Amino acid sequence: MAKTTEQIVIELADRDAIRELPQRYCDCVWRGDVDGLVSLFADDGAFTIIGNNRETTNKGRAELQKTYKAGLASLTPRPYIHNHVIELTGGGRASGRCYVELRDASNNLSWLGTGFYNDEYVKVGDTWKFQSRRAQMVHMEPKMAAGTAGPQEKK
Amino acid sequence: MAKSVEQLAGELADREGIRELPLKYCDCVWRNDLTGIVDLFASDGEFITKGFKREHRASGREGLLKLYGGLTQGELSPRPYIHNHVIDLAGVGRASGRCYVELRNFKKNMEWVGSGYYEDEYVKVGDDWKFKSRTFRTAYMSVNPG
Repeated sequence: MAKTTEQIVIELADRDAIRELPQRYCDCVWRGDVDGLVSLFADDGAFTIIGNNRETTNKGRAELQKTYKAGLASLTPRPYIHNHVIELTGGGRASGRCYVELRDASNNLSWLGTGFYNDEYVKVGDTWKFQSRRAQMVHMEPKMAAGTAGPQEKK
Repeated sequence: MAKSVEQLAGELADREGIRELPLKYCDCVWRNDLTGIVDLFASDGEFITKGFKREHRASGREGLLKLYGGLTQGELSPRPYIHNHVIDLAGVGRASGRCYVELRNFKKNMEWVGSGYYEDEYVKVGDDWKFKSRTFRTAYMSVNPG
């Protein structure tokens, strides 16, 4: 059955809000806005970084706050996001994938690496949030590789 | 209170109209379409460049045409790529946003020359969104844009 105009508009609004999440994520990283970054996640949201056979996960606002504060201070990444695809799964849930390039503000914006995020999104009230982000690094320069090893590392 | 379908549709259209502005801006820069660039600004629109040491401001149609007329006269012929555009609708035909740009140089085999970001103010003029102001802040630039 064809969708109603109301259904189409609501789906478009959902897609638009979800599309904005990784953009705002990058904007916060550029500006060093850790509070802004963490506010993009659900209360029990999780961030995982995968690279060099390591996988590190941080979950919940306190852990995310600590991780992003340390990560942004040590790596000074400047991200650019690309190729965002979104799948609405209904019931206030969605998933997506987007690709990132990273440059280093501490070194004349030299290349830090690239990879992609596998995202899960959740609608909290009227606002879409990250339920989880899994960053799969495809290439990391040495500084980036060193910076992705964390205390909660698990193989 | 949840937004009505009409409100949602209106906001989507506004966001789409605004999202297109930096894209069209880049497209015009690539094609050296100076009039096209200036047409994206309100009649009293302005472009402000904030480097590490100096600030330059061009206002109004004539000022902007003069500024963009010098776009390719230095050692840099910029070819921009825009990223990470975030938009905040402020109501009554106003909005603000930020977007990030990488520049390559057509005069130097498209080598990567730098990056920065725009802090934008948008205004709705009739049915069209325009730049009220663009403030460019350099993050790193290997050449002098002139």
